[in-house]
Amino acid sequence: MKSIKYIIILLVTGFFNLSAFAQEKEANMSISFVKEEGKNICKVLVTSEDKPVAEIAVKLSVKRLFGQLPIGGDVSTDETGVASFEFPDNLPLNPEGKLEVTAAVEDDENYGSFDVTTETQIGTKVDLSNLEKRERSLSGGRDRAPIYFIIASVVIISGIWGTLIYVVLQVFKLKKLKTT
Amino acid sequence: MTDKEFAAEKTTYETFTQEEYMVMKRDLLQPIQHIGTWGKVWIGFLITVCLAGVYAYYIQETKSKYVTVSLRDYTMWGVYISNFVFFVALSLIGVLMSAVLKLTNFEWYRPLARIAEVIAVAAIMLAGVSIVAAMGRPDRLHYLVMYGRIQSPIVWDIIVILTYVTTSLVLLFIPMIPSMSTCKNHLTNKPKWQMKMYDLLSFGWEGTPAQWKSLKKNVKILTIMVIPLGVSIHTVTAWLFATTLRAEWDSTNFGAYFVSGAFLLGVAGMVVAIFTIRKSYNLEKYLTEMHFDKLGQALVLMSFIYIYFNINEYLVPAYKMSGLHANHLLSLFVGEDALMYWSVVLFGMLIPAILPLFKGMRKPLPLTLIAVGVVIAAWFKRYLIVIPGLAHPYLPIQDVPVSWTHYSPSLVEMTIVAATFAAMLLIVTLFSRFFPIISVWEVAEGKLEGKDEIINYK
Repeated sequence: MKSIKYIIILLVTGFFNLSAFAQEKEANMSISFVKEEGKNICKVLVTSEDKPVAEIAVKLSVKRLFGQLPIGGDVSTDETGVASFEFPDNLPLNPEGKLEVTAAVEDDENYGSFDVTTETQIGTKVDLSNLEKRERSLSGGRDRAPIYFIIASVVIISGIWGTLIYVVLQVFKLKKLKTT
Repeated sequence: MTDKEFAAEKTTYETFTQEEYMVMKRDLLQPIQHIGTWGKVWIGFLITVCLAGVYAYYIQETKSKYVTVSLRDYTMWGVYISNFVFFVALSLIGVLMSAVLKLTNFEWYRPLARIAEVIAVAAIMLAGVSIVAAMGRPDRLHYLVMYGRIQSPIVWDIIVILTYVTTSLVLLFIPMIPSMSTCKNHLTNKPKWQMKMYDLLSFGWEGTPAQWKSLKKNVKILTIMVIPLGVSIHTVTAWLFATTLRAEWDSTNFGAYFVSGAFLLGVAGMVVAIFTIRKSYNLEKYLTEMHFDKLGQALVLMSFIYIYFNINEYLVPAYKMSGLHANHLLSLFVGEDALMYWSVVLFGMLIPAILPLFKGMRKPLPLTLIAVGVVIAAWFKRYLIVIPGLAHPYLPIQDVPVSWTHYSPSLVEMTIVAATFAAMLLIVTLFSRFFPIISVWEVAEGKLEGKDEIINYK
């Protein structure tokens, strides 16, 4: 009785796996960059079983600090399986001097969702030496407070707390001021 | 001095020292000597409200804050912060009613000084509690020390609150040292630990000239220091708002506006406090009608100063009525907050500015009723400063949930706020049951012309 139960479970899960496989064909993507008429073009090639896939919507995005920044809207692949995006050259590169570019297909009825990520050096280098040279200011970080502000703060705080400590010490000395 | 003059003066002192001074001591120690049934019921009630607040805070911190408090992305500062501003304002009562009057030789300050100082200490402590209640992550409180920026008004608020609490505590305690000796020598039928406490806290006080000299010098130092500190604490609180990018707080007037409001609240708070204390402890002989008369006059002065700053604060932006200011101001003047706004103007500014001009209104009962109105209006005034403007941010978001655009405090928030009030009253009540709420020696010193004579009275 128990073995029949296992066989039924195996058959049911197998059926669902097969049907999912039947609905979503496997597809691959690759990203390349070319320069056309002075512009950077990002080309995303979508293939399935070594044949180009046409009319499939591709999204392109770049990784930023808190998420993905979309580059343009959805672009459909042409008959050669290529979706072309104009790629800006002014995006700030990460500290390694690279951008992480992701091409993604979402919820396609034949191929489902898949994506690919690559790196490029197209973009603007951020001059981090500026960070080191930042001036001290009221809006600066914890370690960038203006010197005059630090000195004034220390003088005020120590002046007041010093007086408080002096007064409290005088209270403890009251006993010594007794007549006996 | 002729023999006749000498004899006359000697008689004055002897009459005072032998009888009046003892009566004075008895009167002023009486609240400690005996706690009646109503006194106990009152203390029990306050403790119950405090415990309800502790339980509400437990609920707030153990359940999702999205459920327990009404704060949202727009109104991120609610009643906790307005309550904090109220308590900081109230804490300036010590500066005005004790330090300023003392330094400017207004002799009538004497019976009021300690009452003002204990209210100041209690209020500033509860201001700190209100801030912790408002924190989303109180477990990260120490991050302020670890990662805070010295340029930040929030860090300065913490520094100045800690300094002000300490200074106020020391300023409350030092003039109490002779009173500790008085308690030790004159109270009877008190538990051993209580008498031991008086003995310890009197620091071997004998009233020698050297001790008096040291005590008075230290009190003077602290009295001078507490004035700039008190003004700083409330100015920094005002800057917490003024340095934040919100249209309604974008004002260079804010520091002075807050300080003047605090002084008005201080006078009103003092009137309510002395009315309650003189009735509860039968101290009509010491907290006299003269005090109400003087405080009534002070109330008028402070009201006019506050009205002046309010006109500056509202009239100029109202004249321009630009963009975001218009949203905020119109909601106050004719919009959904108009009733609260105009009630605050009426009870919190106009009535205390005009009615006490008439002598009859400076009698204890009418003046206290006016002062109660000022205190309540002062709380709602802080509510109006903190909350309505938050509903109009610089970058409005489309299709925001309704709960973001309207704020009304949850039951948990109101329970905690009620508990902070109960805790403040509890601190003042318990203080008055263990220590003389009116300083015996300061009152006696005021009654004696020659100030040195008090030295020998313990």
